[in-house]
Amino acid sequence: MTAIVQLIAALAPTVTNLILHLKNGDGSTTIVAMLSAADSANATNAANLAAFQTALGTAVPAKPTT
Amino acid sequence: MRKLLIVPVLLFALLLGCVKAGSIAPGTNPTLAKVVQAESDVDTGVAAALTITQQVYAANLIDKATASQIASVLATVTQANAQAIALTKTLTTISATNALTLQTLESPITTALQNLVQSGLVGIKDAKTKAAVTAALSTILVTLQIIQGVSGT
Repeated sequence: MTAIVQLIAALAPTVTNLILHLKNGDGSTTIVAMLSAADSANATNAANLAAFQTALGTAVPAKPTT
Repeated sequence: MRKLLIVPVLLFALLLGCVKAGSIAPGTNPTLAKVVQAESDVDTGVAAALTITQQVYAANLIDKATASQIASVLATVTQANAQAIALTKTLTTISATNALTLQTLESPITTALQNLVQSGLVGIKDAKTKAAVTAALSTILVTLQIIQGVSGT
């Protein structure tokens, strides 16, 4: 009985992955999804860096984008 | 008892065979996938470097000038990465021209990071702090060099 409980505990993360796998179709990550995540993370970094620079008193005005 | 164990073991084996967490969709151009992964890693590296910088600054282990210098370089890296991501979004493969564009984009920030790592951190007196900041920046440098090393197909 203990062995079964241990196995179930060991399986839990994999079952979670299976749920994600089923949700995402083939379970793999598309380039589009990766780029979207990278874009979002980059924007977060930019905002956090700007906040830090403002706190330091060294923020520079954003350059106008072309 | 043995029969009871076979079911979860078989299920586990099945799951191991079909779940590829974090893998990239089949058929994706490998060079493009490499670049996208590196761009994602740059984000992770910048976030980590910023966190370390904020922590050591808050702990008075680095002065404002050094923190500003690091933040400035990280901001430049982030801006260039945004451009690289925007470019990559339009691609399905990496041509020789695309690779050159990416290299041109990354070259100045790689140099800025190299300069910061090699000589710009002289203001950090504490050895452990210096090592931590250097490691965080070096990680970004290595990732940027991966993008710079990509050759088009």
